[in-house]
Amino acid sequence: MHMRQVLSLFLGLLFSIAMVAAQSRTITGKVTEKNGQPVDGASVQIKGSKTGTAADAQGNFKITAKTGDVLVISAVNFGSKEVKLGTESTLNITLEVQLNAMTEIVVTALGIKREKKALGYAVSTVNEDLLELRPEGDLARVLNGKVPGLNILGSSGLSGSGTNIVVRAISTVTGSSQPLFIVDGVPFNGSTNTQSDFRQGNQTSSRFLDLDPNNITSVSVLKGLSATVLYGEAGRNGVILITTKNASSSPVRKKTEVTVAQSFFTSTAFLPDYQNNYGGGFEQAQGVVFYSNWGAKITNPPSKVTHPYDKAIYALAFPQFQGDTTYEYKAYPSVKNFFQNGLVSNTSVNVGGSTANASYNASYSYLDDKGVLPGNHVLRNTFGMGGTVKLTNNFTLSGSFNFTNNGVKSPPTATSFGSGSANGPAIFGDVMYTPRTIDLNNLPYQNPLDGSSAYYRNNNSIQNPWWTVHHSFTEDNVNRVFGNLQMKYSFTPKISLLYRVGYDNYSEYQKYAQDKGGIPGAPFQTGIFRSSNGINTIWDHTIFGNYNTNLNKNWSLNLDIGVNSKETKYSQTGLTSTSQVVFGLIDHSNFDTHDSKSEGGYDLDYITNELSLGAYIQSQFGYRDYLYFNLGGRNSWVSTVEKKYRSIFYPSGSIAFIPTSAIESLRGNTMINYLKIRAGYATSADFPSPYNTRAALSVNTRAFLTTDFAPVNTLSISDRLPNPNIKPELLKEVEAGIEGTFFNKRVNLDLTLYRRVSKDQLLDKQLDPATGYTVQTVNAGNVTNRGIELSLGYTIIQNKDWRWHIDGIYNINKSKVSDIPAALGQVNIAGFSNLGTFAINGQPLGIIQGTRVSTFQKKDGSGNSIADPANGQRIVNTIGDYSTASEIGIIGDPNPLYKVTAINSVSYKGISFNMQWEYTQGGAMYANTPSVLIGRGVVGNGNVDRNLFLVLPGVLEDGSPNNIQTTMTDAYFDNTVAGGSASELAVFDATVVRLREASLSYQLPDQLLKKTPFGAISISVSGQNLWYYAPNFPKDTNFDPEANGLGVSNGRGLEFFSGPSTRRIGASLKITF
Amino acid sequence: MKYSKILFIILLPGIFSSCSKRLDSLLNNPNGPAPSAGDVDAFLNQAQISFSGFYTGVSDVGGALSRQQALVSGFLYENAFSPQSFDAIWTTGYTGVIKHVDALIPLAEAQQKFQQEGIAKLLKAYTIATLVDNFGDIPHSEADLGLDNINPKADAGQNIYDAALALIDEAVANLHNPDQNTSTLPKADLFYNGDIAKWTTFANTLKLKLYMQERLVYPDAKAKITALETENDLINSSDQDFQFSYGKNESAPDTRHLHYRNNYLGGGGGDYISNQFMYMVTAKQNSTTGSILDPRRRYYFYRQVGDYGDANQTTAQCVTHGRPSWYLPDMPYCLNISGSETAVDFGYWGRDHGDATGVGPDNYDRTLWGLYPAGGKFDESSFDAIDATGLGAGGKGIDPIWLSSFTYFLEAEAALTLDVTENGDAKTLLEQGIRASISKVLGFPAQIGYSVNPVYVPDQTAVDTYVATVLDSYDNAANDDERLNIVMQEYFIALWGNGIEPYNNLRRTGKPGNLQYMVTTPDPGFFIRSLFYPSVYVNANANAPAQKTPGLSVQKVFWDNNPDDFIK
Repeated sequence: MHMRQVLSLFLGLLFSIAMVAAQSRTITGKVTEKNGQPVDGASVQIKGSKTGTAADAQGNFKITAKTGDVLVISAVNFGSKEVKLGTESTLNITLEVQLNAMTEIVVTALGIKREKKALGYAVSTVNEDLLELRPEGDLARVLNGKVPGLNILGSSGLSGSGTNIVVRAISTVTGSSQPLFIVDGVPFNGSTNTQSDFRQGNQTSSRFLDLDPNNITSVSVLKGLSATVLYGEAGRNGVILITTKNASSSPVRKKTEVTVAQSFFTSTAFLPDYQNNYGGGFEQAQGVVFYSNWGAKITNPPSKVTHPYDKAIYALAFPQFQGDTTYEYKAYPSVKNFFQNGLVSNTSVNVGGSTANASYNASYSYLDDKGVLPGNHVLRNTFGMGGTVKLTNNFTLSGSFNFTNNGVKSPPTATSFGSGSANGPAIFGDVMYTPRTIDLNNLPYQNPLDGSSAYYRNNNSIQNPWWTVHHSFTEDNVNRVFGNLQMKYSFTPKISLLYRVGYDNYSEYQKYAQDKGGIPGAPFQTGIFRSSNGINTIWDHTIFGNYNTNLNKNWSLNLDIGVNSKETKYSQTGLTSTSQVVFGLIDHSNFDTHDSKSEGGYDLDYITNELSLGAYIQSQFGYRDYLYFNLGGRNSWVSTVEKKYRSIFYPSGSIAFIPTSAIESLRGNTMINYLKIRAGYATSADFPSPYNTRAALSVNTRAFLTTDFAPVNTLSISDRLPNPNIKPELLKEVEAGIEGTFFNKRVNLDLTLYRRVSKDQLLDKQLDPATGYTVQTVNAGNVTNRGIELSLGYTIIQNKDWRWHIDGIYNINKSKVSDIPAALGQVNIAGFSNLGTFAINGQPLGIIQGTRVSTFQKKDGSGNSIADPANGQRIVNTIGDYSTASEIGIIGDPNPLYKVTAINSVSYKGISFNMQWEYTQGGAMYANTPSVLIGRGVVGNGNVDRNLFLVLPGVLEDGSPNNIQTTMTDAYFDNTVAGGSASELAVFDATVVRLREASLSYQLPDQLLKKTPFGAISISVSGQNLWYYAPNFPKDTNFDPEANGLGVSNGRGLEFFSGPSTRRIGASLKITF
Repeated sequence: MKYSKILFIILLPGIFSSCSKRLDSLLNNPNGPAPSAGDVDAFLNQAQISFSGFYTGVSDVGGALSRQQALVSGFLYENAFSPQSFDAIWTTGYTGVIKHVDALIPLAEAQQKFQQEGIAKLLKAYTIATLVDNFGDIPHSEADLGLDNINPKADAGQNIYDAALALIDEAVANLHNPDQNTSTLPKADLFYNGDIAKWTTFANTLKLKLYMQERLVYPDAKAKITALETENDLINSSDQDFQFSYGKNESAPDTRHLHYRNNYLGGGGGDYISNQFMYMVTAKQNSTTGSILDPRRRYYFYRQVGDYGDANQTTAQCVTHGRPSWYLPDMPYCLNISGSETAVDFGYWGRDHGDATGVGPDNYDRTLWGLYPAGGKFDESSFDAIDATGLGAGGKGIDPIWLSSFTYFLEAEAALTLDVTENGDAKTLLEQGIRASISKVLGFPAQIGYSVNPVYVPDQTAVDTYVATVLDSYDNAANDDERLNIVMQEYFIALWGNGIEPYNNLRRTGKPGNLQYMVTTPDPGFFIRSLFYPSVYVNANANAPAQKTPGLSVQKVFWDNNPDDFIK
């Protein structure tokens, strides 16, 4: 086998260690299950000595021993067995399966497999059956709701858009809260490399989109710091441990097995229910060219009006519409027909097999995801291969290599407040509140003379969404290679040493462009093309040794000790060009001006380079089979802070106690089958981003032009005063939990309580500019998170044919900010400074502040507050609208009270039916879409007589009850869309119930396939995000609160036209040969 | 066990020794030059560009308070501004201008780039004096020390003026330092293109400005001003004008005049111009003397509409309100600033002083900044809406920081108040000032290479008539106070685009008089005699003085000893 030779040679070069020759009598043997299947990797040891070996994948082993020795044979998921040697030279050993919670093996930090019962912390695992053949190509979105403590929030309904993942809770104000991805044992970059900020939209993909969920065997989520301490600072936000099929030591296959799966899904957008009774205009006056839909009643047959394109500026472009008075004033299906049915096609092929000493796997998959928004498309190809070779000299070599090519395209979706956009093309902001009487899909979208956008507004102030689709786009193209190689040498069954190298490299080519001819006054009317190419590289080296032994009859020790080095480099170049010369050609040479900064002023050319070194030790002491102590820690040295703060030690300790094993009377108890109590403590840290401790100048080669057009170069001293004394943020966490199975294993429970304190937050301290500087990063303030994660399973029916099981997952987290010095004030986390999320002492992290309606407070002559029944009531101004207070205040807490998931699975023979329901209680959301849909009059009130007058509840400036009548148009428009209306009025309660997934699948019986070449065939019909109901959003807006206008960030609960969510339904076929 | 020991011994130290060295190297930011790469010319360029930003920021505040641009941010003086309103000025002044000037001085000394040092010091002198003029006592001696003093204390305004004057003297010495390395002359002089003589002239003029500013409290002012006038190396001709010139480049970099950017994006007007100011330029002379039109009006303002047919409650709320009873007869109100629909000024759509009512959809009605000094459109009575980008001169305007006309008007003030007549009597200087200003404005299209329809260009007769009219009224004035008012009125008109000097002039002389009062209340509080301290100053500096209460109490800067109710 050629590959094996190459690998052996490679191995030999690295470790030129001669092997010890065998001596004495050699015993050969085979370890099998009762049914004759070989047991992979069973351990064979001579009792009372350090000699031992491990069986290969076929269960075969060789060991040198003498008559009278006792061999102890054990394996993962099997009970152990002792055999006393006679004179025989071959042995056949049968092991009993012991598959229950007591011996469940889980993957922990660094890929170390441990018995779950010995762990002092929570680990959740999701297996491939819950990951494959899903309508979503984004792993994070597939995981949504399936793991307690894992919070997933997409940034929009666009295919390929970025996704937030938060494990447990956000515990940093300014740092990253995204977890660490470990794929096949090595770090995998999951960043979202956006070149702009949330105002320009959230189309940029998160780089875990490069993983194909169909190629994943299992995902383990390490939540607490106790679980992640070996990763040091990188593991502070939790770790998503992914094992791909290419790397898994899959169950032994006797022959090569080929699996082909094909799925097709269609997706549709959840759109508002538009009303059909009133058309465009204001105050019941017919006005086809109005933004708003407060116009006249629509009649049947429809009245005829002047064509929207009958105006002077279109005299030459559209002569056919000049003087045209045949345009019908009726409700057109504009928004509905603007969106399309999406189509997702997913093909995957997996080939795996094994020989006596080697196993291998190769996979390929293809995803073609055409979104519901015209112009939104994802195309992804992934290839991979991996394998394990067991060499004759106690070396095991394994590795996997993967290649991904990923392309995501979408029209830009800049933020909008319901009146166009100030930050570039905003397709949702231009389409969602299209007046009912505008026939969006049949009006020409382009001026035939110059290609510019044409639309109904008199001053052409809305960009035609179809023009945006055809002349504006964002694009991400990624080529990625990642993989690892590891060599393990087993000195004895008790001692092994492992070296692993991981490499993850991608280049991400991003484009953002619009042809000239956009709407006047808006950014990029003259055309823009921004391109950037970023290259991210991670080199990760790990060496660790494992030693496990029985210290005496009662005590066992399992020791891991190792070192790690991780270097992450990101380098990017880019160019922004503006002022297109020839319409329609997106090429830098076709633009007038060029800049190395993005349209938002961000530098497109930069490099960052970070190095983290670590040394760690982890020891697990086991007392009999019911008490385990884990002690350990890691020391990290990180390059982003000055030398004296560089080194940090993260201790950890945990304990697990299993009363059902310890207490005689509980053994074999059918009420309490298994019970474990655990507790743990660990620390971690969050290092600042690089280059904050030392000054650098900044260059601007074209700060200005002289009157002779000569560029003026400048060097400037940054306004940020470097702080050489910044330290990492320090996290400490205590967690405790109970795991158990009860009532004849019908009920299982996993409960975790945690408390995490994150100290010394990295915050910006304002400086008096008279010092020459405006800001400095300092350490101050704490964030405390407390929470409960509960998963509770109940098997209602379990018999030969039927199985009905329900899993419930319950999450609750409370956060609190404290000890921010008064000098730092309120810290703006995300969003705008007057409408965003904040860290405020005594409040939950991320509370939303914005403008509020003024409230009444009676005062006496000297300005003291006095009691009055009108106190606290909203103040209505002289024209009958709510008056807006000048200072911003708290308008909502976006953190939900709790979240519940219920996964219901029913199976009958080969048929199974699954449903995943989710319920989120509470959490406030500033949501522009529903507010504007109401304010513009396109939804709701369809049957209400709009001629009625309203008097808003509240009081006048003097405290007397409001008696100012206002029209319905004004009451809605002025308090939602109009500039200066209080943000508070667009805040809603985000409680939502959702049917996240449902699937029906059928596995053909084995008998049917016996005489065919097929090993297994299954078909399934499934859907995602099938239904939701958010009762506290305005009726008919059908708004889905699972949206985030702030992109991938620490901000939640703000939405600025991020687009509708989608329902995906389809079918899959999976065949194994 | 033996092997594992060997491996640890081999691998551990190997990895750690090589990597730990790298930890140090990764602390330096590779994305920008090290501080040691600081360069005199590049710092000076930054200081010059920041200086233009600082000027614009301060000018817009003074312009609004002095009824040149419209004050639309509050009904009362106390709420017309907030401390945050001034953060940008403070930040640009200290971190943009002063920090880079201070950083380049030691480098310039070492590299014998004395001309650069002189120019930098003049920019700093203007900046600190202007900060004093607007805020009063401010950090100076302890400023710009970074971590060495994060709470710099304030110095007395008078001391900072003295420091600025000393800095000017140092600058002049630097400019003429014989040790200047002639191969390292300034690379980009955005004001005088390397003409050191002109910088010296500016230095002297700046001294004249400062001495005049403190004339009320500084007994030696007269002697100092007399000496300066005698030497007369002052900005007396337009080629010596201290101005910052903008370009037409829209992006990378955007070199257009700020008020062009605010008004010529294609969506109609952005800024409001004060009705008072448009009245003074277009109608005041007309209403008092018949048909005398200011030759500068078509250059200063661009009208999008020729009549007010559109005006209604939504587009201009003032049309539904009555004229304030406390307005004097000579004060304009709302859109009909001449009071007559047949007047030539019809179409000038601005805002009254302190009209903070909601902004209606009047973008296509508002009168815009015209060709001078913003580089906008010349008013040819075409009444075209600004519905496209790049119209007019494309933003190729100027900041009129100090023009020759300003010198003449200041000298006229000196003649009337200090009896300094070295360069002529007040009337002569007034005429010189008016003519210098008109000639500057009428010559502006040629200066920036822009042509206007000759039909609308005033001829010499129109200019002479205007001058004669003003001089007539000067001759007819009853006393020096009235004469000074005419001087300051003409100075005010000539200052279009410069809000710094009219605000200074108002507080120093109280003139021009009878400017529009606040529109919503007869009792708007005290006129703001110095600005709030910026929030970035009082909030972040432990040694900052207590915040001021402009509008509620009178907070005068050191050179202002005028009565509390001096200005309304």
